[in-house]
Amino acid sequence: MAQHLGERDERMSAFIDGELEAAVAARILADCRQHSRLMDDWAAYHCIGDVLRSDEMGCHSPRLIAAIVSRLEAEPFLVAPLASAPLDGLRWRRPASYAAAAAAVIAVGLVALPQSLQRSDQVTAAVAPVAVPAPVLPLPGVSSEYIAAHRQYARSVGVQAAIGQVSFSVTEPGR
Amino acid sequence: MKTSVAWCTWLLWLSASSASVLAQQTSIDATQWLKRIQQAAQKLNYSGTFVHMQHGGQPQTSRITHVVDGNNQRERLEILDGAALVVVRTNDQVKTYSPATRTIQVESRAVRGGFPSLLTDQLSSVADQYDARKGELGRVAGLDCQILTLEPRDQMRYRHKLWADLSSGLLLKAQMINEKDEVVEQIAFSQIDVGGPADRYRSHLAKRDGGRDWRVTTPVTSPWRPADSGWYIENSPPGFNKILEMRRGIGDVEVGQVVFSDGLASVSVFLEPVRGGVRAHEGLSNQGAVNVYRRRIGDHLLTVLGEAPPACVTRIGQAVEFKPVVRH
Repeated sequence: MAQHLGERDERMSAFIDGELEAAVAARILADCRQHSRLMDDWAAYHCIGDVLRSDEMGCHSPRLIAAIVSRLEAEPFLVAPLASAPLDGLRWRRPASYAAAAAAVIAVGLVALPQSLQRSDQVTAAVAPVAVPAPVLPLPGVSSEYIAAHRQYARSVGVQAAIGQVSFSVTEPGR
Repeated sequence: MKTSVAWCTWLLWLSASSASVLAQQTSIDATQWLKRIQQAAQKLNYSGTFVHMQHGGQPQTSRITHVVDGNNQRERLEILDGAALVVVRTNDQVKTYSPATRTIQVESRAVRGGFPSLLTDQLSSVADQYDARKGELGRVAGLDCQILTLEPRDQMRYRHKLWADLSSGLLLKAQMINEKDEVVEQIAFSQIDVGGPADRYRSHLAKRDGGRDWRVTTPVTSPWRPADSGWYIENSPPGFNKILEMRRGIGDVEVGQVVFSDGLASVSVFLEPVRGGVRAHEGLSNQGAVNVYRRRIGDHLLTVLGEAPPACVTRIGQAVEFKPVVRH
């Protein structure tokens, strides 16, 4: 069955490229109705094509997005110290090994992220590039608890309310 | 000669006043849009799913439902990725349900800053610190939007870009953009239902969270005036006004927290005693739109943290000063 579906994957690719006869194409469409995996492939092929061809189209393939998100989740968390530097000249120090890892993330990110994120501002900038992940050098003590504590009372637009674990004390048992 | 000078003066005045009127009109329109966004989040019924993304972090998807019942606002925010978490708000009372710890955190929050809300009382400050402009029309979650750009007037804040629903005014998407034109944080609805009667959305709020054996907790906070202990922050960047100061717990440490806001961005200053055996790493660090500046002042550790450029958190951090209290 798996092999059978594999062949159909190839046929679907050909179908999307307009290289199949009408009768074979009709069978592919019938199979799509029966196998959700084929529907995912259908969405994934279109997603790849749309993203490559257009900067307006988003990606609607849950399986492809899940795979990319899984790759991104494996990447290290970003909390990195900046060396003391003049205010007007702040620059990250990027060892070559980090740059290579960052490039891989960007390559995936450019396909995965909706193009609207990359095209941040058509008015003032033609293309807003995805920020490069910085080297990961943990800064002990600056934990997510501080960010949660800040956001609990912050009035910043575009950020979520505090939803982290902040220090709380138990005042009543059970309810 | 006198005539031509008079003509030139008149023409200059005419062009200046025309530009002024045009700029004023543009400014008024954008400001009216900000007010509309502000009111829509509070007064409308809506339910939708939004994605929060910041560079270096994971995309996080949440579902929010907001219902206005007479004079009461009820809201349910559920985090859909990773560890489950539900935040239920009834007016100022906020309950956070955490299945992992089987706890319900109960607190009162007068300040409301979560998406898609916009700040509530500092629009004049926003106009002072940002050049608000109406942009082109856009489309988010299938709805036509008015795009607004808030251009900072100095280097102390990020540029903001907002997408507001043309018909309802609800904020559907927001971006923070740094000085290199990089989107450092974005939050946007991917699906949304707006408007209509409360009944249409009530079923989303009906789900019961928590259980009988869950622990109920409340935050440890107490009033705190930094100056009483000798702490002063006297040279914060223009427009950043103090909105809150208190003593609270973070982890197992008691810290002083002061929050500054310019209406769109907030910065927190944390002060705590240096703990024995804990090495404090000083300097700047970054996570998405959040920048952190840390330094040691005597036997205290200062942490300045907020959705603002490194220059801003550094300036606030360097403005913090300790003057021993002289008691008579």
